This record gives sequence, structure tokens and C-alpha cells, in this order.
Amino acid sequence: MSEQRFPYQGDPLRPLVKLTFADANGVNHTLSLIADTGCPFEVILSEGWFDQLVHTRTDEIESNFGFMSTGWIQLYMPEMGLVELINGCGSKEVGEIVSDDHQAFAGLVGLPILRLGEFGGNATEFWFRYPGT
Amino acid sequence: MWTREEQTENESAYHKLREDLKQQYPHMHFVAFGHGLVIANSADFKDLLEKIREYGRDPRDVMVIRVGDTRLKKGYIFARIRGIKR
Repeated sequence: MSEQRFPYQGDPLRPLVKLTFADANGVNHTLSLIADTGCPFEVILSEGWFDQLVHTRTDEIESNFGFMSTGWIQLYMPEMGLVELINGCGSKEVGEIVSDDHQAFAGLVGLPILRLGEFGGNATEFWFRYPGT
Repeated sequence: MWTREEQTENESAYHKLREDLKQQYPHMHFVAFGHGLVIANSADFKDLLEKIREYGRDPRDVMVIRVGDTRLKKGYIFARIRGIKR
């Protein structure tokens, strides 16, 4: 089982997961994403990262942040055994909110991805393990 | 180049054809739409990308759905209420 563990970051403090995605040219990009177990979507990226990582579009999703672009995105972390074609969202508003908390944040990772493995936290750190037990 | 107009055209076509696609293709088969038409299909995503390119389109500009996909179409994000910071 592989594990990543990071101290909470940002203002206010946020739990953080780093996920790597392969773009359409096969170039890998590792993004810092807020772990949001209340988010029902797989990932929501800033508009810029979404445009860079999307392989094809799919039909849009409605949210309390308005309609969000969606598309197929390649989650590519072979060192963890986590290689999945996922349906990601792009939102300018979500991108602005997360980067306001910490400039390194590129979006949110929601429960559908987090529950592929195991996750947890304590007073100082958040961790994500894959695969789950 | 991806455009809002073509995206709307593709979504409209998909919603009209959604039930027919279930009859034509296996569950979770990939189907690509361009300018409101089905332009490629495959069970394999990489193969589908090749077919889209063979058709003369950049995959990033077209819309791809999976037949019978039941993923969420609407949901709430509780990230943080805008403008409120401790």
C-alpha cells in the first residue's frame, strides 16, 4: 500500500492531496488539491488546469457554482497503482476560491476519488492511501 | 477548436439519442459527438481517440460520453461561501 501524508496548508488550513495527471501529450502534471469529502464530484480543477489536462469533453454538470465544464482526464500515478480515466470538472470560480486559500491549490478532489483508497487526518496532517484494505 | 456553440449542439444531440444509444452499443461504450453527430465509437478510450483523429478532429474539441453512464449531473460543493473568510 502506498501512502501520501501532508500537513494541512492554507488559510484557513485545508487537507491536501497531490494527484498526478497525464495530459493529452503524455506529459505528467502533479497538482495540489484540497481533499473535500463533501464534494460529490471526482475532481474540480481551475479553468486553466482543466483546459490543459482534458482529453475530451463530456456533457456539463450543474452545481451551486453554476454549470461546470467536464471532460475525461487521465489520473496517472503508476507508482501508487492508481491509473484511472476519470471525469473531471473545470470551474473558474472554484479555482479562484481554492487559490485564495493557498496559491498552490489547483482545485478539489472529491469523495469518488478519495474512497478509491483510504483517507484520514489528525491534528496536523491528512493522509491518503491506495489501495484501500 | 472547442466552442460553446458546438458543445451545446453536441449535448442536445446526446440527449435526443441517449435511449437509442443504449440499444445500439454495450453499456459504458464510448461514443464521440462532433457538430451534433456521432463521429466515432469504441469500447476502448485510446482507440476512440485514434478514431476521432482519423475523422479529422482534435479529441479535446469534441464531446465523449459513455453509454448508460449514471454519473451525477447536478450536485452541491461546500468549498467555502465566497467572500467569507475567518
